[in-house]
Amino acid sequence: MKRDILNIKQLLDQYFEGQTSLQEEQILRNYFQQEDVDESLTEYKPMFDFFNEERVLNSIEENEVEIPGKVKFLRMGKVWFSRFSIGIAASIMLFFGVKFAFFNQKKEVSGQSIVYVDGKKFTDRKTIRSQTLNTLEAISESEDDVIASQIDILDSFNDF
Amino acid sequence: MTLEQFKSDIISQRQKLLAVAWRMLANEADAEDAVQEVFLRLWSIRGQLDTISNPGGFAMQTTKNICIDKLRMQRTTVDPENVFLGFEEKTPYHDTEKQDSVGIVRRIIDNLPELQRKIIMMRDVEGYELQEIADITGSQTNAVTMNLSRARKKVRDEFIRINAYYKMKEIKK
Repeated sequence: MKRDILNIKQLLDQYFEGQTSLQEEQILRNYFQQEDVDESLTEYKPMFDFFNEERVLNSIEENEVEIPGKVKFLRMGKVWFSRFSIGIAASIMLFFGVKFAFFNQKKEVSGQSIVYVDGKKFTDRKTIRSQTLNTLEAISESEDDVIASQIDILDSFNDF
Repeated sequence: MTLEQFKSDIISQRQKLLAVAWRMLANEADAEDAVQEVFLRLWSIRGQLDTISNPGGFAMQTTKNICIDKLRMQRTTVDPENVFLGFEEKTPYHDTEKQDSVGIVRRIIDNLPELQRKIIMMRDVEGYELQEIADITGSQTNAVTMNLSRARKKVRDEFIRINAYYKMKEIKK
């Protein structure tokens, strides 16, 4: 374990000099994606968390296809969904989610929220929230739209 | 537009663009940075460059615009390398939501000099090789490495400083 930390520290030194290869940077990203990062390295985690988040958002944008005059399609994993159908599905999910929240209030949030993007699993709330908001905002027509008002309800859940 | 086309239509104009930038900015290093920014900006819209009848002329106009922006910034602000993200005045860091660590990193990167910001994003988010970035910016890999290193160190050092500030505030409460 100590040897692993030493390797990571050496890689980090090279990383800040701009001397690491893409593969070595992937090793650093993988290390900082785990929850139990060595205490001496925790201050570097937010930086890699930011890049990992941006990579996820970037990969979603790259998977979008715009067909002139038609609905935008989004690839999630190996399946193509129209944004419209994602929007409908998301609205239904939000409706039941809101119903659950109001009529089944618990003091603690139980279970784990998960989002899969291209087969990769993310459990941190920030990634999940940003993924959901991106999809919902994309199909939201106007501020008076029902979905937009449900986004407001989603925002209020930040108080958990 | 492919990288090869980009090189032949846009990067080939490098000396002309550099000459114009040098005349406007009167500084070799600033002129080099400006021209690299031009290439990065045009690369980001490469999909639309095919529709432009005179890409060289477009690159020239973009160079002038970037130089004018730089001259305006020099009159009103200090060198971005020396900007101290202070906390005495109201900044986004006063917003409790922005105290989120990743949000702080995002703000720091947004405040980097344009060239450094673009290079760090191309490398650490989009996964470009150093040689690819050098080809796109019409520069050498050692120049790209230097800017990448500066950007990463700036993000690291600023985050550590801001994080220490908030920890100190928490202790004092």
